[in-house]
Amino acid sequence: MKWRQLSITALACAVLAPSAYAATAAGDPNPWHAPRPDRPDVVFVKNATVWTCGPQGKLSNCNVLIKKGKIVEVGQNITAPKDAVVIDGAGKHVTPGMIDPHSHTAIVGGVNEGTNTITAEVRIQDVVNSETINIYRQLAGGTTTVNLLHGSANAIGGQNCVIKLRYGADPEELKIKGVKPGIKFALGENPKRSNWGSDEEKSSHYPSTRPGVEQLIHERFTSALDYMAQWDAWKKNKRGMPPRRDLQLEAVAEVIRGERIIHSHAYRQDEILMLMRLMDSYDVTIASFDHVLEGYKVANEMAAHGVGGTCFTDWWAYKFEVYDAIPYNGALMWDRGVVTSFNSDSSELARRLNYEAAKAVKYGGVPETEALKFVTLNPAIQLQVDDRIGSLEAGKDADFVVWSGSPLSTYTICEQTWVDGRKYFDRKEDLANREALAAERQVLIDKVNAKDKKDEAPTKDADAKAPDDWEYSCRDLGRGQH
Amino acid sequence: MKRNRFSFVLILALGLLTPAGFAATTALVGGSVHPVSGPVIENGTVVLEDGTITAVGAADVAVPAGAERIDVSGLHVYPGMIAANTVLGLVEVNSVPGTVDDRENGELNPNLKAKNAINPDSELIPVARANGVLTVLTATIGGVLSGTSVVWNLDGWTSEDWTIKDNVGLHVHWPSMTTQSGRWESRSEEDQKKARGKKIQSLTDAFENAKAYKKARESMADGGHHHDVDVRWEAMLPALRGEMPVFVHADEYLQIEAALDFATDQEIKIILVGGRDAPKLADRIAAEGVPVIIQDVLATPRRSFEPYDAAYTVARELQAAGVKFCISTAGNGFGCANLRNLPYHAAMAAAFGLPKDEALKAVTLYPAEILGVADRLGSLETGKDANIMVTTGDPLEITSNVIMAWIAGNRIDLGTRHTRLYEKYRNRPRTDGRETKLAPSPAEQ
Repeated sequence: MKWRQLSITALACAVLAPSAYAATAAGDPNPWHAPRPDRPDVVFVKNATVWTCGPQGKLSNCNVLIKKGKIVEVGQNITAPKDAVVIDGAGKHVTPGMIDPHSHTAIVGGVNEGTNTITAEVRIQDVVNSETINIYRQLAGGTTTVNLLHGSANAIGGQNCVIKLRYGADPEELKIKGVKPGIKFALGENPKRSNWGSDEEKSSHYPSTRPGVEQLIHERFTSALDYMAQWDAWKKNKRGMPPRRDLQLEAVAEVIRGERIIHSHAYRQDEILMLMRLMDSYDVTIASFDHVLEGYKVANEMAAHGVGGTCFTDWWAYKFEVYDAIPYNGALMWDRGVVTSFNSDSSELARRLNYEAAKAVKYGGVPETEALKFVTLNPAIQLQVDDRIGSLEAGKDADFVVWSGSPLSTYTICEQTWVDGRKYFDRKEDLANREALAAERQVLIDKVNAKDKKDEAPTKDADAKAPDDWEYSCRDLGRGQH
Repeated sequence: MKRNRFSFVLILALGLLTPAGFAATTALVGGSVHPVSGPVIENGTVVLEDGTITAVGAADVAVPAGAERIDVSGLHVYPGMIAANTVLGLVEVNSVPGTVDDRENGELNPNLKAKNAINPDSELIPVARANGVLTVLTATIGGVLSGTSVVWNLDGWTSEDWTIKDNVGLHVHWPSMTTQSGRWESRSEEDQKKARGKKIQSLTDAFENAKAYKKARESMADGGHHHDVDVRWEAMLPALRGEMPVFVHADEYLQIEAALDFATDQEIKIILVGGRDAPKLADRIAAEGVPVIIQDVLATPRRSFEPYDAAYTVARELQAAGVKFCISTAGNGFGCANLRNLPYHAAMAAAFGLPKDEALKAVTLYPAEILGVADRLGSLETGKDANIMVTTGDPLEITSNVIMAWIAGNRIDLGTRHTRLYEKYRNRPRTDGRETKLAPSPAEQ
């Protein structure tokens, strides 16, 4: 039976996806490196229901004019220029590409530097995995930008990297240039290492309490101030030996100087309040609390500090610190003026952020257009990239999704996903390519089987995932989640 | 079994009234009635009497004198949903061992009974039912032979009140048939194969031993030699006699194939749970009449080369091949905390081609049929138990809300840990001088 043979060679042909196929067929010397889709000079979305997520709100019978990858105009009274690539939007809905502000989806080789408790110096930008199929799958669900973060095993985990899902591009091309750099902090059970590791590790690890987490962060910030003072003193006259460079403290110093923004994993209200007060003392405003499951309890204080909240919609009860997590969290934070978004922390959930947005309507009655901003404009604000993405407004990047119906309906599917005015996903093409892919796979299988006859039987069994496709999540020292 | 007025009075006399509000007769009038087993009835009427549905029909259905009339015009009436694969009640907080009872040590525990360890005050229970999941199957999940499951309603004082059917199935978790090579697997390929072989052998041995035990006990009953009771093999007898199906948890092709072979060899009735690769064996599964409880539609493909929608289309493909199926969620603590999302798994299957009416059946009537409780649950039909939800719209749409529900005819409280915390903090004094824009929870409306 063919399926059986096919699964034997699962590893051999692990990273083939529809848009990669075109490259292989065309004889690209780097078949894993899919050609960039065309960027038509002019694209015109015609007669769609457009959720701009900007000041124009939601418009029916609306057009979007795109030139050279940028949105030029959104409105009901514009006409298609000659030679425009026209997308017939009749019956369709168009939204900005969705933004996932907390993800571990395209990272090579682990998300936690587990050998220390403060690892501010390590950088996701060095380990972006451009070849994971997760990028394609998330495009197929309408997600176009993700914030790649370290895990939450350490109080300060490392430096983030914001990428666009330009599937087929190399790691450098995925990165959005000029984004304000960020850093991942983590509070609570994960940096305490409450839920995994041997008894010996648990009894010897510092921190193992929330007060320990606070003091670790506090100590690094005071050290960074001293470090900055030493450099300032030396720079005045440059006499004697310069201070020894410390890459870890330099990252913290960037935070203090406002050059690097904090995304802090946090669950309970006490630790949320703690970090705000600690950062207040260094005159630092936190960019976002991530997961922030009890954000609803301190929404007044969060709004006053000016921090955004990005949460899971409804995950709860998997550990003690999420026993008070409620699906109304997003609505309650939003209602009190906190810039609120939803994130995935999961390569599965990242493919249907529109489902999550609908939950802000269900739980609390957030208006639909505001709810959609939870996965478009609001995460862009939190990542400080809202001047470029997050809404369909003149001057912004042409990152958009064509949906079969309302993005907040569970029956709706993503039909096309565009990034920078290039079409990276098209369901019709995906379906059409499947047969060709299957045929190509069969050729590979036949080759492997022919080789097997000559050599010994294959030693690898069928179903192993390629190591790079391991699903990372926050506390991933070994395995585990969130 | 249908209840009559006499037995209900008796129950009242014994003080076993369930926690929720009670009205002997209730009539829901004016709503869109979705029986699931038949076409939608606009401006319909549903009558609930003594815990049972006594009438389903159009506006001309006679409402019994003295019945409480509830106007549900503009709303929708559906049967409660049924989750066919859970550990609900066995797990509260998965990372706190004292609150976890779903995994026993040891590989062979056919005699474990899930029914005996369900915590009636688990905070997870109201959260599930608040979105219309009114009945679940709970099973232990440890080892290869995990125990027997129970189907129960999410309302009642004790496990004796709420049990619909005990000993629903004997649960087998089929060993992984493939070796792993990632960094999370420290065993060598050879060791993994040995471990797999050992597990399958232990499973086969358990069935052979139980069969021998059955023979010995039958012979004893016929006057033969004495043979001591063995609680483990005793628990397997109903499955060996064909009175209780064996639920085989298996997602992967080789597991499913092995499970089907095993069922043939052992002459047992099986139900597949998981079934991700089932479409690739759909013709055989259909021919052998094996039902499939699909576990999780909202999932990534198992293999990197599969189509991005591989998990979304399992239900559609099984339905097209004529396989009996239903849709459920992951049978673990994490899945149970979010049983409320069950309808959205069905919705995604519908978005990717499963007919909408089939998607609704996949979380109502079909699980009832597969679990053997369709005589009482799964649709709005005269004579069935009054497990009913009233919604603001299609329950498979996230933006719809459940605003009333009945279990066994009792109106249940839709309040949860989550709505209580919501109301508490929605009413926290504000510092911005503005009024809240948020709606009260359905429990408050």
